[in-house]
Amino acid sequence: MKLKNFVHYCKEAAQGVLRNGWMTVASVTVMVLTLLMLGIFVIINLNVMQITEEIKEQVELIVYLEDEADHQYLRQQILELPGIARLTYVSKEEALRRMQEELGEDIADALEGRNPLPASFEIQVHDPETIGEVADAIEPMAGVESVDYGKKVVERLFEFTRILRLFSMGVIAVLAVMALFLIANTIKLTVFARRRQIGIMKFVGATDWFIRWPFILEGIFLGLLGALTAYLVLFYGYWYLYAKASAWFYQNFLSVKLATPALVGRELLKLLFALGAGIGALGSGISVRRFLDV
Amino acid sequence: MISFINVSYAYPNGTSALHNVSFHIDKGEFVFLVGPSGAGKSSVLKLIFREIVANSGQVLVLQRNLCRLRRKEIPYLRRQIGVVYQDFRLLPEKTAAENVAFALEVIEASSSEIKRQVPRVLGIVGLKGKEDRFPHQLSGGEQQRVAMARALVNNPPLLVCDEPTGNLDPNTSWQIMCLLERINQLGTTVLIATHDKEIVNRMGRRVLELNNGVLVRDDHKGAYTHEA
Repeated sequence: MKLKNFVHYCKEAAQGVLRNGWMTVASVTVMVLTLLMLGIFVIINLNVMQITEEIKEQVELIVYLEDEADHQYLRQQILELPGIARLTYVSKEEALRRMQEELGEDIADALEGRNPLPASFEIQVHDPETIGEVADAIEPMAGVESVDYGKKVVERLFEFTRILRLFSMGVIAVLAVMALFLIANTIKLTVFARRRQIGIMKFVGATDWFIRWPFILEGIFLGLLGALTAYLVLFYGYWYLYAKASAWFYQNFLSVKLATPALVGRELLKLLFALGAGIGALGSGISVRRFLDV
Repeated sequence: MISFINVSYAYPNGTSALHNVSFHIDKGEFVFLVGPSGAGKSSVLKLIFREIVANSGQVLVLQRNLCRLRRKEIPYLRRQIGVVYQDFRLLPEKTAAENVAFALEVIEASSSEIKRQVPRVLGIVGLKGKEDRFPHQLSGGEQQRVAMARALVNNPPLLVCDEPTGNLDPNTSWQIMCLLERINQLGTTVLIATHDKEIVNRMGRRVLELNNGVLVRDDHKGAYTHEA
């Protein structure tokens, strides 16, 4: 694209935006609403992901050993399983020390030198969703007394987050398609308002792309304008809510870590602007195509 | 310059518009295309302009076979053909000079070229001093002169006019015709579709007559009808 042409396209696009004042307002409003809804889903999705990650990291498989088990050999066997991220050996002595820490020194006296606690492995897996399979593989090994990972709770949580993620992605896809058609429709009005000009351009010998570019730039501009508006509303809105919610959690002694405004801002910036520009360009491309055929 | 060889064309709905039409127009000619409404005059012009493609036969315009012209090449064909329509087709929000300049801008002419050509053609069509008027501030005849300036600004070898005087009173029509004749004298081939009997008879130039999609007459010093 030659620079001189680019300047011309921008000028034409700007003229289109200004001249079709109310149409511009209408299409940007539609864009903002759509991107706002998208943005809200993105924020929910980010927080769900954040919380899921948090929980996933805490998901631990504890393998209790029989007293006479050969923990060196078992360790090797377990490490041969796929997907093991970390394995820590907790000896009987260590287990007792931890209990003393939690319950106080008195407990050692009460036990009179005996140690009823089993030794154990604390295992973390790369993909917490495979934790059930890992547990099933370890349980029959010789020297294993029992395996514990809060089976039901973990499995339900993963099922829930998977469904939530699928659902929100589906909704986002539907909204994006909706936005595309709304923008295409609005640009169609702009193109329609300028059909006379397009007709003249065609019969004096303008190339198709020469005719197309201003409309595509106009679409991109409308998309970006919508994205900017939606971004500002969502970012400052989230900033405010994040501060409120964090304060509330803190007061109620809940350790819930929400996605930080910085992270949300970064993600929204990428997604909203790319999507806004993309939808705008594609929408106007669709609209202008029909009018180019004489 | 223009050759039609056994050209037939039917509208997409199947109605026949042209049937086996053949004629040849040489460089520098001044030709009227006459006939009643629906005789196929517009179809001939649209074929020349590659708005439509012949169903059979050959259409040759400016050394190009339009049946084989690729879509990408259409704009470059049109840059060599000036067109003038009955309804002028000016942009109401642009001045006379801007309307003419627009035709050069959209074919990516340089700004020095635009500055040179626009006053030149406005001078040819007799609109000096009215460059900055908007179409609604001009009379019908003046608006048609702007359209003609726009058609000529790119120095096309061929000028095609579709009922150029259809919206104008007889006196203004005659002035437009005289202007077209002068443009022809400057070397441009001119083809005019019209049903303005009086003008055709008064000009006494070559006449192609269509009736029901068939070429019924090609008269080199013609009048509108045989009887006239």
